[in-house]
Amino acid sequence: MEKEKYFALRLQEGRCVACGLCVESCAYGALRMGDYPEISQEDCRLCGSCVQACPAGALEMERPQGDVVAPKASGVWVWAEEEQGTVAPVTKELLGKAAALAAELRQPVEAVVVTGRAGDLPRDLIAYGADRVHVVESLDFSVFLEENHTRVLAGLVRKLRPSILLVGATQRGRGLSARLAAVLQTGLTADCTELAIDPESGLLRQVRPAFGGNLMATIVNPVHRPQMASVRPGVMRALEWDALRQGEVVFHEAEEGVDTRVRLLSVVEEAVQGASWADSRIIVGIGRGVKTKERADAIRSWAERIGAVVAGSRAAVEAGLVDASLQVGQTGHTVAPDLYVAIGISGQIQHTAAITGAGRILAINPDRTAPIFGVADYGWAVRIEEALPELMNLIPEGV
Amino acid sequence: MKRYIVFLKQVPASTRVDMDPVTKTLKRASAMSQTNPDDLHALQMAVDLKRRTGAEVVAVSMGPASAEAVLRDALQRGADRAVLLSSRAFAGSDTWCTSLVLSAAVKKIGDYDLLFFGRMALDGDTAQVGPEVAGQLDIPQLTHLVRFPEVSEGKVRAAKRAGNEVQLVEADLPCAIMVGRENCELDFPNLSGWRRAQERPVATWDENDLGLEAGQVGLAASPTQVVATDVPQRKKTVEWLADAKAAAAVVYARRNV
Amino acid sequence: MERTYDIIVVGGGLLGCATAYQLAKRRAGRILLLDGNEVASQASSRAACLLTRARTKPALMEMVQETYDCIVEMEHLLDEQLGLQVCGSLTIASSAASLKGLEALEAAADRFGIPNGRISRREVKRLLPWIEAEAVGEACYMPTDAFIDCAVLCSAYARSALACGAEVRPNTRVKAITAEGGAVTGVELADGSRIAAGGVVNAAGAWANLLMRPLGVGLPFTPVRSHFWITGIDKERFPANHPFTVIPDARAFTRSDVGALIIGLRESECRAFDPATLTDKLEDFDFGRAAEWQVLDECAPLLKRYLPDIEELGIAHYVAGPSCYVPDAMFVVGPVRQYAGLHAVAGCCGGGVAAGGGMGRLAAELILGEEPFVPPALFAPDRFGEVDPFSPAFQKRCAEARSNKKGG
Repeated sequence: MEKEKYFALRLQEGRCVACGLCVESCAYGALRMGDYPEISQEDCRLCGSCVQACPAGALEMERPQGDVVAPKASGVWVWAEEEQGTVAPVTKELLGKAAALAAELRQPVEAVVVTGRAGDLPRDLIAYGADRVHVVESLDFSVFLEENHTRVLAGLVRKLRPSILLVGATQRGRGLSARLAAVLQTGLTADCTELAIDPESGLLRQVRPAFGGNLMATIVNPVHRPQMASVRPGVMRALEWDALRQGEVVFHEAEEGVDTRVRLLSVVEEAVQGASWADSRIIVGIGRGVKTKERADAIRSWAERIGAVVAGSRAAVEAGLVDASLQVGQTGHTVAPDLYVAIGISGQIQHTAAITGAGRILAINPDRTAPIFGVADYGWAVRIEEALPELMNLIPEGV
Repeated sequence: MKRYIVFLKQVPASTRVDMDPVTKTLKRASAMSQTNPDDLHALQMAVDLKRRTGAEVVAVSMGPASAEAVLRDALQRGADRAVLLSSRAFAGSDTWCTSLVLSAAVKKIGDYDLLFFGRMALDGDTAQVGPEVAGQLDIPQLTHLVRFPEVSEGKVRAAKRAGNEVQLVEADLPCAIMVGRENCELDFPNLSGWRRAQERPVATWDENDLGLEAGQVGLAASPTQVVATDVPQRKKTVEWLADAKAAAAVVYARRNV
Repeated sequence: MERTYDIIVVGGGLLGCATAYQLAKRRAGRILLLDGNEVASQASSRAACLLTRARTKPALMEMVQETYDCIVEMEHLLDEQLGLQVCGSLTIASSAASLKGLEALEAAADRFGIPNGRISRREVKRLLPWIEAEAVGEACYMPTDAFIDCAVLCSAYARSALACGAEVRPNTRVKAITAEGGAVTGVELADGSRIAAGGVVNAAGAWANLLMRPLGVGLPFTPVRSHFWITGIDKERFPANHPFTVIPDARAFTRSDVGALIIGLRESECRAFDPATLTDKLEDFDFGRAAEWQVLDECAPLLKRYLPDIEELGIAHYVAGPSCYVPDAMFVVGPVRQYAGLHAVAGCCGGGVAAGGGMGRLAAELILGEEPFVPPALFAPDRFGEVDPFSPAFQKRCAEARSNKKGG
């Protein structure tokens, strides 16, 4: 084969039934249907969707991995995240998962903690499932900085060669794991929802959502070590705390100093605010069904008490219930709060297209057939004038 | 003259994926593309900072020839010049390989003060590439900004979230900044910007221009490998609530999440 | 086979919903309205929605008046306000040719009793804070003109039809209109099931000819790209509900949109689409992304006289949709002669929101054998003889109907 013509994705014309499914599966428009599918090598990103879509097995993707084999590595590691001197919940969850993976591999579960003061952390990490805890303790690390923690962890990984390294996909863990993967020249699979050991190859099968959760991809890292994965909090299950569980604690010195290019000036506690209201975690959307300004005002004062902001549909803006700058819709803002509460919104596409990123949608509307209920997670079919006073009476104490 | 480099990715216009009920194969809703939304905020931050500090803003995208549209978009919105990293050899790159290519481009552009990345791409959702480039280049990284950073005298100061605290951090330049949509509001593009953008050249670099071997990048060189894709079964049906109590539980439960 | 209906209306856009309402209100039997998506979610959610009363053709004025009447009627029926914005309109002429058009419009308005009058530049500036008044030659103000949120109007037709006893089934895709021995028998759904009916109304808009194709009939229109731009919000310059404008010399219209300005522009050569290329949902259809700026670039010099900072004005949104254009720019309403029981309501030519109530009324009257309120020959589906809407030549004729349009 000429080197020039090599391309990893190839069509076996003999098997192709010219059904066109591969063309429809391509998100990048890289396939065009002629007598057979034609692959645009310029546009193809080798994502493999078409290979999977093909019912005839006519598309093949070859990965010339050569004779490279994975270096010797052992141990399922968990980066122990600290939260006010205690073990973060996500770390406990990861230890639970690590225990299951390690059992299949017959390797130890090892936690690694980089901290200003280890205190009871090693004991707790063992109680939650670690067979061994690596501790790097120095006042240099009493504050978490991605650059410093990356240096220390990279040093330990190079020295001890774990097979797997799991990190919580928290604010700290995300930046840390990506930087660490780059430094270690290994693969990282972010935000995994499922981890398992492939019984044949012994590789870590990492399942993660992509395309905004519309697609689940299974990913492996065949030859680079460690196999790094991050996992969102709340996905895995922690083991029961067991004070009797035995484990070893190993103390290490940091081999490199801190990164002097980054300096912590101060730590403050402050309510975090986005540049705009559209980033609020709870957004209450007012629709035409709210009808009166008085009711809209009542919703605003309710929203204020529960820490939400009020926005509205285009129709509500037109009806004078909400200011134009607060319009949610195709011709307004697109929002993705944790919770969107749609009150008196019928759910025209102009509006619903802009709220599909919301974590949860609660719709309150008297008309059970309104399209808003087609996109809502929770629906309460009730007249708005009845719903509001009831909802307001139920504000919990202390708010 | 300061130099800010902004990275923008071309992503599908819709992330909707349907499973054909009969053939069980994936069907992407749309073949259209757009500029990744977070990346537009990264560009906006660079352009806003440029207004305060003066700088050259360089937009960089890695992708097929069609990704030029993303760079034209960036030029219209205030970038001064644009570089497209495009080659068949790049296809199939995972985040590690992508960050290797981007780092090589940064080195070739040279003399930079700040790198700006959108926090996350719509299609990949990994939030990895920015910190990986910072790691490859061994420069400081600022993630999870709470507000607009300040730049002066070779330093950048920023407030960033780290777990349940907010850290005020100072980092030496050069430095990489990850930008989310909450960090700045976008200006609306206009026609004169579009006209200006049409006149600017877009440079195209491949692995040779970047001093990389074809074998260092792309599918074969990527540590991670996608072995299967699947559409999760998620037929969304509304859960009907009986009364105000049930509705209140939904709302008030989320208040402190 | 599902239970039998008297009439199935295919298409839950503005024309389908209006037709279903006009039929249901006349107690035309068991009516079923079907749409593959939600009601009002496709082209009908992308319209500029100007309810311009004055037209040079009397039949059109009757049809628009019917829409206004429907709005009042439905507000009573549904006991809710539909948000009609009576903002008035300004038609602006700055050339001899456009002045002639303006005069013809005024004459038509006078005959039909639509209030209108010329106003001074000073008055124009008061009504339109954004305009460069010096560029305005003559301006005719029609204070009773209005616009309405098209999706609200469309869903009101559907809910009114429901209130009058029709059945509405969204998210139910029709695969084919079925026929036997020269008469329609109902429809076949995407899942293969069939619904029987003695009459079928094809109101599938841009998709209508895809349903006609297997029947060997072509309706005389094709989708043509229409579009508008929405600026950022500036309540001082673009106050909510200031009059909409029609500026033929700039191939433009404008309309207020809750503090922003909608600008409609018509390129010199409009673009038609082969209906076979349409996707099931318009959100997945590529109207030509580059057009957002290319067309603005082409048209801005004409509008610049009136809106001098058009080049610097921030554009917040670009909305494109398919308008179904007919070579003579008149609607397609009436029986499809080749099949007994088959009717068409389509070919809105960019005027479907304004005339929809009337188009639905005419369709209902023709289906029920009532005396039509406007001359039906103007709108007869077969008035061009046999056409092939899938041929590029015919599509070009349709695109030209939009290119040659007056106003935006």
